[in-house]
Amino acid sequence: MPVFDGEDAQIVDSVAAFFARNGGIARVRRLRDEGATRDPETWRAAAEQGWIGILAPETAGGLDMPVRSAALLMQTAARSVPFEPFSAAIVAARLLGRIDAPPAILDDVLSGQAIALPLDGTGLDWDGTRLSGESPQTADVASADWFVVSCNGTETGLFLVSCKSPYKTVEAHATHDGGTVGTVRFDGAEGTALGSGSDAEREAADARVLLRLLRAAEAVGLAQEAFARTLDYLRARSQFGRPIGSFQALQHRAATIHVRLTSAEALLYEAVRAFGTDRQAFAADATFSRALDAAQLACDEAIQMHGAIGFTDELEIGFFLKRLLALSASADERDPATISRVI
Amino acid sequence: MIRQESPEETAFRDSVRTWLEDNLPRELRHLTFRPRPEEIMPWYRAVSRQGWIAPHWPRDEGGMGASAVEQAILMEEFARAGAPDIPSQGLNHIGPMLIERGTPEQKARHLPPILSGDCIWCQGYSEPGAGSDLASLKTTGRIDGDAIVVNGHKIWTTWGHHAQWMFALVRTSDDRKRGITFVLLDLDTPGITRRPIRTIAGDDEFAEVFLDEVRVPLANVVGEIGAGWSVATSLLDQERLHIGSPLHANRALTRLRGLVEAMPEGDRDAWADSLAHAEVLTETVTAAFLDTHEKFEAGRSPAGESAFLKILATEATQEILEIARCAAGPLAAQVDPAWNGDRRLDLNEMALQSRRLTIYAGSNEIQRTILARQVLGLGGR
Repeated sequence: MPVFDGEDAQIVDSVAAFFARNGGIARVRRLRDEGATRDPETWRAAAEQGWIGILAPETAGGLDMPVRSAALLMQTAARSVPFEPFSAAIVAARLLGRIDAPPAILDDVLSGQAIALPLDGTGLDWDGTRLSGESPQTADVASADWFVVSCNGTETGLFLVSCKSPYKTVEAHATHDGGTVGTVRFDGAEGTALGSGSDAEREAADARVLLRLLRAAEAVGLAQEAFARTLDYLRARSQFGRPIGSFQALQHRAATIHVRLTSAEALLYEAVRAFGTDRQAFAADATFSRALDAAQLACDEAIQMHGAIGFTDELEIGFFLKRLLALSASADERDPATISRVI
Repeated sequence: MIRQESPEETAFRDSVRTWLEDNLPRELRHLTFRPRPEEIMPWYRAVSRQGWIAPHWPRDEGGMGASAVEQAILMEEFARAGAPDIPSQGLNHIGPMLIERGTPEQKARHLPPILSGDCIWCQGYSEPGAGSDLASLKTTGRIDGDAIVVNGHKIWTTWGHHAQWMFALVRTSDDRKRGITFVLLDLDTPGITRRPIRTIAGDDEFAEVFLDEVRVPLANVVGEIGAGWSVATSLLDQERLHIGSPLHANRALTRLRGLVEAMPEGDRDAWADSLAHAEVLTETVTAAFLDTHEKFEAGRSPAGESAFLKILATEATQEILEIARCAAGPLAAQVDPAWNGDRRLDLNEMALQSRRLTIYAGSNEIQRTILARQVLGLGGR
């Protein structure tokens, strides 16, 4: 990871230790086998570490740490492929903390009692008190207790809507990583206006950029773990009387993965530095696109290089590809057309 | 560059842009080949007088001592202006080598002419039988009194027929690596025959050099006799920072951008996605360059690590040129350049030229083997 100081190392160590304690990928497998889409205990424990509020202002009860700390957090967490929407929750908590959200709700969110997620309000209309419309293909749709909606309908602004509203229905589908995706419909759901005008627009734009940065960090982190496990296998697995990692065909492909991951990570941390500058949107889109492409290569090759055992459910290597598929599907931002709009 | 510049860096960028606009001759802009010495060296000297010829050299050796960001700014602006390729063996290879390993006499004699552009250097490493397997080189150096007498055949020597001096590896004993000695060779010495070699792009970019009983004074040995391999490889990681710099990717991007901007509006929209992809590739190379450079300066770049930069930068450049070639359409096929304003559109020649990027300075296959073995811990046979 680029420029490593003591604080960075502390984040990486504590996140790695946390997921080692809570079972890592074995936890994800167990939840999947049980058909559970939530793990409240893990979520609360993560919140107790301060992670949900890592970017929220201190005055709101957050840690107010730099974006690079949150990127390191998600890059490290992703090595255990949690399917929970940590990235989205971190972004939503930051947003709520910056716009004077109701303190009781913010406390619930920061302590992990409730989950708030950002929701892009395209296709939704806010009439001043109520929200209507349909938001299809929404990631983590079954996880949220609150949606922070950015809307450009009758009124423009940010609105907090409870998922317990009777005027809301959700059609959720399981995703391969253990999460959910689906359609959320609002039919005059009540909510709280949190802000309007250019301030709210800027907050929503920043949230979009941050979410992309953190998801890029997840893609890089999970791909690095898949690659590390693949390298171990190349060193350990023997055929024709020698480790398969001594074969040049595999060495060169491994080198290509290394090139792509190392450069994707460098671009990620340049994009993190660019947050708050006028190039932040391009930087985030660029790094998201690169990170997903690099991670796709690493995860596909991880399975190929493990051979038949890589194709089994028993080996954990497939969990990285499945999480990546969900991340990839969570946004269309890797599409160059999105990037060309912001150049 | 997506990194935000300081006000000083932005002022520097502006000064570079303005100076290039005022001083870069029209006939040298947006070329697809390296012009001949009589055309390019006046430009080299002009950049030298401006003080920007050696951004990466330390200040007390006559360089700029520039940061990674300042170096990236220079590359971006030189590429944007369409500045031509200058001979770089002196600036990027033997210069830094002498700064690290040369005697005070060698430095005093050779560094100033590199900076001023009064001496062009070439690299005498490859031989007909020693390419990727460089340590198998057979050119001999026989010690005779105060000289090494060199016999052999060097090849693929970039600008070998234009250079005044060559730094070369010669075999002074049978030991595979410890039998190699690093020498500085005045190409006016009797016994040297040079022949240019025509490339697929139709120019004489490299040459072969025949050495027949060439007497090289022992004072021109860098390091000890038999230490040539360690001298030649000691700066490999540093050298790869230049070979893997974002310069070529930026050049290719400038070319693509020029093509897309010149298109009718409908076509321009159709190519916007490809242009965006090329922008992302270029920024990826720049980010990797800054990161590796800064790690290197902090002493945190492990040996071999920078091999990834050469692979990244050269393959990204080829990918962008491929997009540009497609964007140029039928025009790309012409041997004689088509023109768009003052910009040449002979994309195929550039695509041909760019094939060498993944071959020179250690083919990308060799770089991948280095990464696999030195960085990724995958063993040999």
